[in-house]
Amino acid sequence: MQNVLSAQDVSVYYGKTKALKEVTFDISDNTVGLLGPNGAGKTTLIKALLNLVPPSSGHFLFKGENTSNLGAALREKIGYVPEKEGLRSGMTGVGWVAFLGEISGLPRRPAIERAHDVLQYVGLGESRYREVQTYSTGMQQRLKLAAALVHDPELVLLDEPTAGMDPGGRQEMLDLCQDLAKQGKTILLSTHILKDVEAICTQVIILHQGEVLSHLGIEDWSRSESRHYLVQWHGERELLFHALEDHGWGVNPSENGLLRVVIPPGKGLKDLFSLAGGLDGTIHRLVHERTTLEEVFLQALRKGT
Amino acid sequence: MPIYDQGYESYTGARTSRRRRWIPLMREEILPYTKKRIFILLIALTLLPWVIMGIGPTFLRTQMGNEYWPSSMNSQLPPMDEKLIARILTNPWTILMLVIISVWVGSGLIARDRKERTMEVFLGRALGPAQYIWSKGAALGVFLLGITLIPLIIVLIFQVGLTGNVSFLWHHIRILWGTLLYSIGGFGALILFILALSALGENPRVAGLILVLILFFGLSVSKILWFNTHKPIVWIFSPIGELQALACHCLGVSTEYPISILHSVTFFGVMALLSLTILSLRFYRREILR
Repeated sequence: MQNVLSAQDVSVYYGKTKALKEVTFDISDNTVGLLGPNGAGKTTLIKALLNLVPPSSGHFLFKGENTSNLGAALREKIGYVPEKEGLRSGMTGVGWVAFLGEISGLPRRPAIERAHDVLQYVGLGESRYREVQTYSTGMQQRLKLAAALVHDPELVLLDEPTAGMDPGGRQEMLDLCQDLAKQGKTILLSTHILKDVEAICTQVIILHQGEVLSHLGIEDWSRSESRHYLVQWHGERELLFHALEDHGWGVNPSENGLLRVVIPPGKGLKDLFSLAGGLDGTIHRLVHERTTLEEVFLQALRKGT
Repeated sequence: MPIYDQGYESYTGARTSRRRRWIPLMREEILPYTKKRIFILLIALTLLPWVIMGIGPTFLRTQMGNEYWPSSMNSQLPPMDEKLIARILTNPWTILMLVIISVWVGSGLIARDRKERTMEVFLGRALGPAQYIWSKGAALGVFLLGITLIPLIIVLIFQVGLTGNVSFLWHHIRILWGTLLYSIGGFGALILFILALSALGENPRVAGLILVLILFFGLSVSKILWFNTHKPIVWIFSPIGELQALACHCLGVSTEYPISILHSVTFFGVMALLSLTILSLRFYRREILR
């Protein structure tokens, strides 16, 4: 699969402070989470991609083309949802979206029609004639998303799109992102809310102090984690422990008298039960152990520091 | 029902040329003012000298009967020529209105976008910094030309229409090109100066206040310094005095200020260059967004 977006040794300086340090990644999936604590460089990375903060070194490739050669043509293909403000008071929702549509290259009449469509799509159809300063935080975020979609971009950059939203609004925003991904748009979701990434992203880039600490596909990672089980053994624990170890299974004693078992490739739960069946004792409880993204994130941060 | 029940549809229609993307931005800077009654009143008041001094005398000479306006009184009316237009352009009322409109419209042009963080939204689209600055300048330019060139053209239409003398235009062609030159040179530099000032801060009010101080009090400072030193260089503190002198030079009439044409050209040239340098530094590597 062709990479939609790549970063190659991108560094950004703010004065003497290095905000991004030789960031390199490839994005081929269409829902990518950019995860990191505050000040990790997520917003800088997005701005560097849009050339709002030109990289001091390195470059981005969008569908194989160097973005510095594309200029305005690149920004026609990108929709950007900024984190802070970014709305003009005194304008109506539909007026603002249509106006940005025009700046992005749509003729006036189609821009107005398109503004109505995208506002309907994000669920602001009924409040489109209200002035933007009267919108709630959630509505403003949706309005920004509508503005980012008005020119039908291929790549949508969302900078903390769910910040300050209530749970219902947050879910609706995530649903919209997921739906856009289904439409073939590439979504780059920058956030520090792990659950948002967990809910919709298929690829995660963990950023810390301007560096990429980890780059993983959630599906791959989930699959490998799905082989971890916690076993409560009714009988002598060492018996099962040694039996599993002798057969080459990964096994560790855990808290509360449990055993953490890693099923080897090619083996399954059936094999675990048949192995245990030959011993003096029974499996009392079996818990499928899943590592949360939070654990992976914290692990990556610990490694990074 | 999911909120995206309508479904997402791609846009397959036409797109405008990238060169024209600044036009909507300029339009959206102008439109809000056209909805403000006080601003429309201000523009109407700005046109008063053009009506009273420009159209009035010609109307009295040509349209009133002898019983109301004896032809012997015509000599007391100023003739329509370059001198009269220079008087209209440089009279204190026109200058006051020019300052108010410049401060009102100009001070927030860039500062407001920084304050509301809409600048990164605009520059994050297919719009370059040069187009952005151009659109802002053009918006202010429309208002400034609206109180000089447009009323001038209306005055000339009335002049020709009321007198029936088309050759007037040919004999006084300097009125047209002189005012055009004044508008491009003087207002062009003034607009760049205002944009540069607006680009330095985030608060439109601060930019407006500084602009008021420079435009209003600069003239007083220059006059005080002139009476003490008698050196023409002191007029550089007064953009208003320089503008008045430039208008007179462009229209070929004597000016009340001891400012030579070379001094005027240098002043506005340096002002434009300095402002462009500030704007370039602010927008170079997008420093203005930080």
